[in-house]
Amino acid sequence: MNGKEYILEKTRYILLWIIYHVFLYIFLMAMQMAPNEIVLLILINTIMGIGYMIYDYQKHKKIFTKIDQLMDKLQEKYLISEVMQKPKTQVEQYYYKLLKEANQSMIEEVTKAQNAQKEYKEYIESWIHEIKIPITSAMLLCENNKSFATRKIYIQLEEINNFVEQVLFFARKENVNNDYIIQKTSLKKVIDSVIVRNKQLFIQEQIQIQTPEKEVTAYTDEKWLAFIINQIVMNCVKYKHETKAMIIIGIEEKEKQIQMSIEDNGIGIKESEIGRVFEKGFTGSNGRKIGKKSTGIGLYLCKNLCKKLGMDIQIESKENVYTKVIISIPKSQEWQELQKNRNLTKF
Amino acid sequence: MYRIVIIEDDQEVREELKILLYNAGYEAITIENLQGNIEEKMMKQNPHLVLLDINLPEKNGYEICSRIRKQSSVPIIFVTSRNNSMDELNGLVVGGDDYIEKPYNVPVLLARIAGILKRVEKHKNESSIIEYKGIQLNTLNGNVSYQEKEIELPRTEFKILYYLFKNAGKIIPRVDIIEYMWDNQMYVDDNTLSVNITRIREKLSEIGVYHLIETKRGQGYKI
Repeated sequence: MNGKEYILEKTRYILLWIIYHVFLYIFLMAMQMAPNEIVLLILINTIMGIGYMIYDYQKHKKIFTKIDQLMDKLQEKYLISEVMQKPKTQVEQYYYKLLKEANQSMIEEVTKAQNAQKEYKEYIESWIHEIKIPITSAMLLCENNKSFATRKIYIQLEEINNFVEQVLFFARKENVNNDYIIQKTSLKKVIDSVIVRNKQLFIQEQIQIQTPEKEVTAYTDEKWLAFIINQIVMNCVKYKHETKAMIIIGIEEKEKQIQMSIEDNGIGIKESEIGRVFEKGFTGSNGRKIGKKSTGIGLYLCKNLCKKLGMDIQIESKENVYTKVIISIPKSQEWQELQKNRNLTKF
Repeated sequence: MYRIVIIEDDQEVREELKILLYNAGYEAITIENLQGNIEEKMMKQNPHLVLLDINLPEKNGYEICSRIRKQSSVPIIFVTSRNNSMDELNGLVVGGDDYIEKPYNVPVLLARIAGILKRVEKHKNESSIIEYKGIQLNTLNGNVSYQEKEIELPRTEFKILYYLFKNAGKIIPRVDIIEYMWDNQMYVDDNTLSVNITRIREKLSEIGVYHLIETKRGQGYKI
């Protein structure tokens, strides 16, 4: 609210005031009062009126600024009616009451939704633990009875497992903060674990793989990083050319970060679409090409998790030639800063 | 033979795990009744290692682990489908030696078991020399020797030969060899395997070994 708005709002009163004084003037003239005296009277009235308006304006201004400040400081804005001062005038109190009731029902709705979400999340997590048991026993069955068929079944099981993991990480992505342990991690070990895990698929699809020779360690969470790498190499397999498919994984140490690159010689990504591959649900023309298996969730999750872990993920590609994903892991010093920020936001 | 006790409530997983460990050359014992004093039942078996599930009907795995720790330092590997970091941390805090997620990668599981057993029983060194038909493989330096002659093989070739030696007398499908190599972080494909076999044959002939590796068409290799 500024002065102009205030005066505009009070126009009706001001007009009424003017009309009243015109009549007063005519009336007093008719009563044979001296014109100077009438003018003096009107002047005094005017000064008092303006005085009151200034006082009234200041008072409102003060209340509004106070509420604005309160609102700024408040994290859950919908709780404003709980913390603001109870107003004094009738109209204001009426609105205050309405606001309070509206907020009350809003809070109830929010709590209901939060609980429902929490319940659902807990159900998903426990469901994942349940489903992993039959997957495990089926995998063991395959391992104990190796044949042409069980090898194929194993690949399917591994795929099921990948999807199940995706669900788990999706359910957890909102509170990553509570679920990671940053420690010195051998990147080679993480890469190898992902490859060995999917070896049946790679062997069957005849994909050549090159991994870094050198041992490089970085400060990161092993489990999350493995999940991210797994999503990316699964994409390499999905979007490969029919023959001579290859995946090259490299590690490069930069001044402030360690860069891991995962490059394939697959069908690549159109230039017009590359900006959107990290969007949720984006499948693009490649997704339509390969048909069934594209969900548009994998890379979205990767980006999301990378951000939460303080890592950076980028993608470059040339259609029909290659796709290269680069993950940058900050070196320890920056980690400490991130960790510090994390603690600050907690308290 | 190492004795491994499996504490796991899902019967299917339990039985298959038992077969798997048996095939890998361990004596595997399962505990069928998971009611009552599990740690006592387990200690009776006098195991070299314990595979312990966390989600169990009565007590959870952490509890059992800390009870075991009070009386024994037998190596314990947690095997579980729970997989958040807190679980892992808890497992290590109560005295677990390792933590593996379900569904586990079998070679990884076996490697961890072997690793822990090796660490615990350091003094019982496994022989580093394997012999078959008078040909000796030295796993320490990657050398192959036959009648006073010796030759060094590159890592990949040595691993292939090692696997053939370990399965001497059997026909080994090519895909088995390839999978074994991948488990050891050497990502060879079908062609590379053929090339490597040819090279191994050439090198063996240099030390006077001829026709050791037979090709069984459509089936695999045999020595």
